Amino acid sequence: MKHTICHQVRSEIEEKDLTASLSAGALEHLRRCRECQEFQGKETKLRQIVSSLETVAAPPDFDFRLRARLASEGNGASYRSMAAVRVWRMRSAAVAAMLLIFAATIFVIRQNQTVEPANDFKVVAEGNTVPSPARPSESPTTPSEDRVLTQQDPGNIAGAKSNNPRRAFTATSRRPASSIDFGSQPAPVVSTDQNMASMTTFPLDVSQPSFTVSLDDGRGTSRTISVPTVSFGSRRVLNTSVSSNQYAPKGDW
Amino acid sequence: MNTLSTIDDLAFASALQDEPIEDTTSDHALLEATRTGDEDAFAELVSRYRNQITSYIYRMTNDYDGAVDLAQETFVRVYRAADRYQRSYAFSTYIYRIATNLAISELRKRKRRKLVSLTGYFQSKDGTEPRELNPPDERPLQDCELVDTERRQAVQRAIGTLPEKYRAPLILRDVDGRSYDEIARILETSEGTVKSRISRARGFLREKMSAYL
Repeated sequence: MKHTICHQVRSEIEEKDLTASLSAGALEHLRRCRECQEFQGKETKLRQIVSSLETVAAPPDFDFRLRARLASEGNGASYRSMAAVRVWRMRSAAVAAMLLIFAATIFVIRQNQTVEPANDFKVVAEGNTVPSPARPSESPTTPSEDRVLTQQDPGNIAGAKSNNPRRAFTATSRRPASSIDFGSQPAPVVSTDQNMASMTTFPLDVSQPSFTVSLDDGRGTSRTISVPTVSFGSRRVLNTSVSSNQYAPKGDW
Repeated sequence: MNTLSTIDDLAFASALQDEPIEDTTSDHALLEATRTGDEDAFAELVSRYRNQITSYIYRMTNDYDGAVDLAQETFVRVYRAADRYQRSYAFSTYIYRIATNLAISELRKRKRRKLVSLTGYFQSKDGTEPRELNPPDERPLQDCELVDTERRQAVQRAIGTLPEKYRAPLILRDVDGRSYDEIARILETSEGTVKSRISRARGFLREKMSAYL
């Protein structure tokens, strides 16, 4: 019972301020309890010693050092923000460069798809259509859809290329083809039962040592190519039984 | 000159008139001014609290130079977090909480580094009883002032041996004279816990300071 009261009184002593007065019950108990009196004496003395610890003053240059520290940290923060902006700009520039390269690549690819090689055009003799070599993947086309180029109009390649206006415009903006590779096309076959009168003949003067061709490159510059006379295997289609044919003009084939 | 055009403006104006005019020299007002870029207001706050904070951290860490650095760090954090400051409690509670956290972090760092002050206590090899490197002179002194000085040094060393969870409430209560309620808010704990820890801290000190009591 006594220990319980002592505990309560000591708790009150601890919680109260040094200057505050204790309750009447605690004071009455202190008058009778020697142990609690001793506790109160030591507690009071200890708290007086602890509270006697003086406030330690900050150094005189405290404000100056604090301002310098704040200023340096502010500069550091602004530098960090500038560095972040710089990194962001570099990333943006890199992304823009990649987009530019991508767009340029697509443009070049589409340009290459637009301009088709001249070998796709078929060179035929006037009035005849020569079928091009069949491609497995190509669908059959009608002669009207098939792009043809007459021999008499070799410069009209662009107009004959396609019905697509954009493609036609793209082709006309390019230089006209000034030469045609006849070697890529099969030569027309002349059979013996064909009427020779309807065949086109190429008068060649075989007495000359060479065959000279003058070509214009479209810019006013002409180039002359001299092709030597070549002989190749052929079959004479004239009927030898007809005597009049024995005197056919020289050089007619 | 501003003119009131709507009923809402009138109601707002009357509400403003009903609010008490805040003292421009209060801590809250100074921090509000600091938030808007008023450096003089922040300087006034520093001048009010620099000694208290430095002294408090010094009592916690028993290292003056370190205490000054931590006090400066406390004010730097107040300045940086001025935008996030809430008026839910007193500014002194706010700044003491920052200082307490910094001091406890410093004590934990020291514990990890196992630094031992040559002028304080350190554990004996068996780790059972702390041994004082510089024991107090038991001889009676002629000058009472010297006695008081030595007593204060002894109590400072004794406080330095307390565990950090007992040290902070004891300093806040018995050195700075703060209320239990404010200490509880600073330490973010209950008032009962604060009272219990202060009682335990005084018990430790009574044992260590028995020669002076």
